[in-house]
Amino acid sequence: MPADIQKAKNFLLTTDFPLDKVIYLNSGSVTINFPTAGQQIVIPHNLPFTPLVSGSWALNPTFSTLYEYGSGTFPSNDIGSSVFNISMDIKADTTNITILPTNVSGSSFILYYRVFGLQPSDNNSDLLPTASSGDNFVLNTDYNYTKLYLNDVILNATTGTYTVLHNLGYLPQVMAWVEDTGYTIPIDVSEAPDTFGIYVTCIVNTTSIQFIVPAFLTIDRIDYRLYIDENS
Amino acid sequence: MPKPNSFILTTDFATLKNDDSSSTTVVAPGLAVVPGSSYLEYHSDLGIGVQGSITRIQISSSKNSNIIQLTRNVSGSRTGTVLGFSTPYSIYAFVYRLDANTIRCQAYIPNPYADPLTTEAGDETFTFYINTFLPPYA
Repeated sequence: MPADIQKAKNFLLTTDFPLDKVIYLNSGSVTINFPTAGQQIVIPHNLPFTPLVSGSWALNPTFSTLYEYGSGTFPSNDIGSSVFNISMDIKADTTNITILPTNVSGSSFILYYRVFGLQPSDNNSDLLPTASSGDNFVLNTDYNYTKLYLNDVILNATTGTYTVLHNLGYLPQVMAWVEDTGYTIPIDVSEAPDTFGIYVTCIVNTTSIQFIVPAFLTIDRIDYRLYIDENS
Repeated sequence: MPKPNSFILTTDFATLKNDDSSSTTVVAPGLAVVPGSSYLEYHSDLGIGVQGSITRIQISSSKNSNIIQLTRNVSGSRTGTVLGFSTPYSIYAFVYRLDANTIRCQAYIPNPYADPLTTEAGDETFTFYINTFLPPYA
């Protein structure tokens, strides 16, 4: 019997749909200079593919207040050049994960970072387990486990709109990454639909997701993960 | 070594634990006056997610037909006035953590000009949809 999506999304865990498997974990700390002068934190990932990266960063080792890549501390000391006072972006290529700091705070600081990676849909490599690197339980019914419905890639996307139908009838949770000039970047920062310019935009509605590639841009690949779990 | 993409679930690999979700709106009023070389911000705080949790976020704007975008930081271009002259400016909607258990959803209008900026007419309502996850860290 095919999976009943409307019922499956009411479960914390179901074997009808795959779970996210975190295939890469790393954490560390590094001093960020002021001015950053092009400073980058380069971390070799030793994976046989480019991972789909995400994670968080903090200004203290306990991560009591953390920030995510594409976000940062507010307000900015230089509103003409940066929305955030300190922010981090992240990208990955076939060999490295790179964290890119923006720092208009006026001083140096220690950055504490956490990075995790997911496996692209078109790769099925043998990989070392990560469970022992994680927290105490791999599965814990105190939590919901988002159920992967669509997991695919769009290759060589040129200027235009790419529509992926899901027909769920509600807003699903989505994650997506864009690979451009060899680097895979999570879709964290974007422009409003009436000001499309330099970023690939992902629009979510109750029947589809759409990726809009702006003019004069060719994207090597767009990786997306769409879950049957409803958006908030 | 296992092939994780071959399994529905496997205890060999850590996963993301969805611990909370919520949504909220933030209104940026029209014809607001932003002081020169300063900014206006409007926000709504959500007490969701345990310490250390990360987010999946989608944001929409009433001035963009409430189209919902996958993003944690979206910028838009608007036209206001400075000294009576039509002047472009930017408006941002983004999300950041205020403390361990509070997520701030914020609209932000910086004014890079030395003179006051009057924003365009019509309120702009941003809707934020947020799901929090406990990532695999001890």
